[in-house]
Amino acid sequence: MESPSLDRVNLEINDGEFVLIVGASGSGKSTLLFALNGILQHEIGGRIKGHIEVNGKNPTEKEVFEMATTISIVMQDPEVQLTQMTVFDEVVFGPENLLRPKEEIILAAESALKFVGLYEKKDCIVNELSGGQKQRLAIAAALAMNTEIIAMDEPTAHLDPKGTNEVFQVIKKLKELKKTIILVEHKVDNVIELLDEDDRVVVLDNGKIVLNGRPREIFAKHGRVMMDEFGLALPQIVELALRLGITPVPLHIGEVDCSKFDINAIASNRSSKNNIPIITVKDLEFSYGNGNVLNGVNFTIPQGLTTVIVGQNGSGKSTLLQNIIGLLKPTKGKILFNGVELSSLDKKSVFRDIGYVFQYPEHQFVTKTVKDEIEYGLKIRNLDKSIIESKSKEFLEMFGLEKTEDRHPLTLSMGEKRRLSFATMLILEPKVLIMDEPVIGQDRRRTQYLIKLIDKLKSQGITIIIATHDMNFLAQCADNVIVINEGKVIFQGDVVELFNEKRILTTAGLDDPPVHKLATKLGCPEIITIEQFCTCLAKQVVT
Amino acid sequence: MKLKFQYRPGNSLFHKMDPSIKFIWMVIIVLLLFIMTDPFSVLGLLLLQILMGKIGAKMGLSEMARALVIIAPAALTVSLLNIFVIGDLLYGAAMGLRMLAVVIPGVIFSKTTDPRRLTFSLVQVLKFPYMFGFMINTAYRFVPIFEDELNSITNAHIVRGVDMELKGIRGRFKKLQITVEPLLIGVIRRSQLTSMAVQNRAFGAYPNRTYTYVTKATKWDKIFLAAWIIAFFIYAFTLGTPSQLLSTFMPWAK
Repeated sequence: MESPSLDRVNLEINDGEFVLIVGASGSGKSTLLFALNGILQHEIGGRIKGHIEVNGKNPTEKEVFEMATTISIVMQDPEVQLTQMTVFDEVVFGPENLLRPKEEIILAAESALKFVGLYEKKDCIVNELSGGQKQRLAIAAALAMNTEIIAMDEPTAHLDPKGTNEVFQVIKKLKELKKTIILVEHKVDNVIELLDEDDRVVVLDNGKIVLNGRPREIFAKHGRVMMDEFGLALPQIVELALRLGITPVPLHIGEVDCSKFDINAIASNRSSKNNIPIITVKDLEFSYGNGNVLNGVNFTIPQGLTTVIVGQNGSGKSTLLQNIIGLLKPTKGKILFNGVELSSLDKKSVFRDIGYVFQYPEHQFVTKTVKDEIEYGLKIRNLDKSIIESKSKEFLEMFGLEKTEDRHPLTLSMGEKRRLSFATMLILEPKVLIMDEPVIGQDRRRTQYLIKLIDKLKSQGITIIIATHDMNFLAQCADNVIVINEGKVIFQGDVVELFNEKRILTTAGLDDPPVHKLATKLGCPEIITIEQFCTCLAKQVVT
Repeated sequence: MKLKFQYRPGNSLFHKMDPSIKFIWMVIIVLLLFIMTDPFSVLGLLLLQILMGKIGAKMGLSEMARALVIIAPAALTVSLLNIFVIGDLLYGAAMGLRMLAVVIPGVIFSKTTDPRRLTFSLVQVLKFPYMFGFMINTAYRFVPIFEDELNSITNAHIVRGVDMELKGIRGRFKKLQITVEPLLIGVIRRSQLTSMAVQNRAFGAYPNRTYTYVTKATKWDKIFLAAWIIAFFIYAFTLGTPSQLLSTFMPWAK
């Protein structure tokens, strides 16, 4: 029998309470939320044992629309939950379905839009909003329903730092309204700033509630277990305190007693002096037909290092990557690969030398079994059968996919799909590997796996190019950073330099990680990761 | 992505007109063109449309010319085919002109009709079921998303080397198959999530709903439509004849 998605869950949430739910991917967080409004029982076909009561209503017995007057859910992906053409239509959609009077609906909608800061955009087309604005709109739509409870399922997972901050500002205001809020969120560094002593943190693991208590108790007492056993990310300041044995454990920078730290050591700058460019971009311009997406872009990608391209959603990162691999043709300017103009090279050799892992791995799959998928690139290059066999065996094992070799790639789990997409690219032994947003929606374990993989590839001399807006990930793996804003490169250099350039960070809507903020406060702005922080302190203890 | 003839806000007479009225007007023009078999009448109607586009919709002549240029090769082909197959020069010319004449009201409609108002008008004025309007809204939201997804899949396959391997008709068929699979999975996944999202907003709770946005046909809209309906019947029963109708659908019976 299949193991249940939720297993003997007992949970009581009080009126006006703020509850943060954390858990690794697949731990049952979303399932729990959708059981509360009856979607799980009525729409997904989930079977429930036990009893749920939400403000006196049983979602298993009530119709979904009846629950919709009690609990509103804001979903993870902004694109799937907004169905109307304009911002105003989206907010009034719910109350219109409930046959509320027109005047009442208009008042509620206007007030909700003002609350999330979108009133000025009420006549705008939804498709033209940024990711952060779309999620704020989804919150406004939930507010206009005037429900007692608002539940949010990772509302910032797809957003860049600017959009994430916008949404958290709105959640902070919601909290002040004393609404009952249930928030599922991976970005604990942002959410920790919102938590008060009497809020609650619930930890789910394999469908079970394994921890349930006040934020300080959960993070300070059980932080280690959360990291090591449940594979969860902790707020950076908490993780740092736990690793250094500092008590009482501060939850955020505001609580840090700086006198407890005395660090003078300088973290080694990860950027090596390798200046041999493998890719050179000169005066690149690109347009889809209505205005330039890329405008006079110049930079070099050093060989054998990890270059991370950062910028807000829509800044031109993916367009730039697609120009680099030749999927798009520059409108102006040129791209040199190993000194040779990319446009003059044979596509077959370009795709062998430059691998590309797309944001959604399933887009890359072209065969019916995992084994065929891994072998595909070698087969179309007419390699010897025995070589193909031995290499595919090696890569199936290397990426832990040997037990799934006969399965259809589209039936794999998200983690397996991601590993398969890496395997299909790496088996061709590329000189450069491009990754487009590889950590969106990934939990701590998967992100750590990716960081290790990147280090391994780098040690093999592979040049890595990553597009991301995850600042912690950037701090952990980048040797070289390119910041792109409105189609222009506004910075190229090492990560430390970027994190200390407040002006660039503000312009590009980026934010440095809390550990760097703390290190800067302590006079060591060279430190950007928890590992560096701990190492520096350890060195000092030794000396 | 911006389409060539998509809606552009403005304050012309056609902008102010109720979309359903405009839609019916378009249908009347098409019907009129169906029963017009002499090129002079069709040319007259085409010129009238251009005049209406210029004055009523405040469109530039060059803008309308661009639309005509796009359809011109097809119109010419239809004309020549009719001239050579049926051997009737005037009838052939009328056929080609019909194609040109049907384009102008289409362009006027698309350039002056706010898709949002169209949806509400279809539901409130023409009494289409709300589900129909909801589907138009959803399509308007999701088509660009699916377009991006299709683009991403195609690019991912190019990088994998699919273009190198799959050539010829069988190759193209296979390529279509492997593109459709992940796209369909994406469509199904999104549809399920969207269905969950709208249920969460009480969609379908009651057979009817409140409308905060109300649109209706004005007195002038109705007069405009009535004038065209009258014009249609006058042409059909006086200037045109039932035999012209017959010749439209069965030209060989002449």
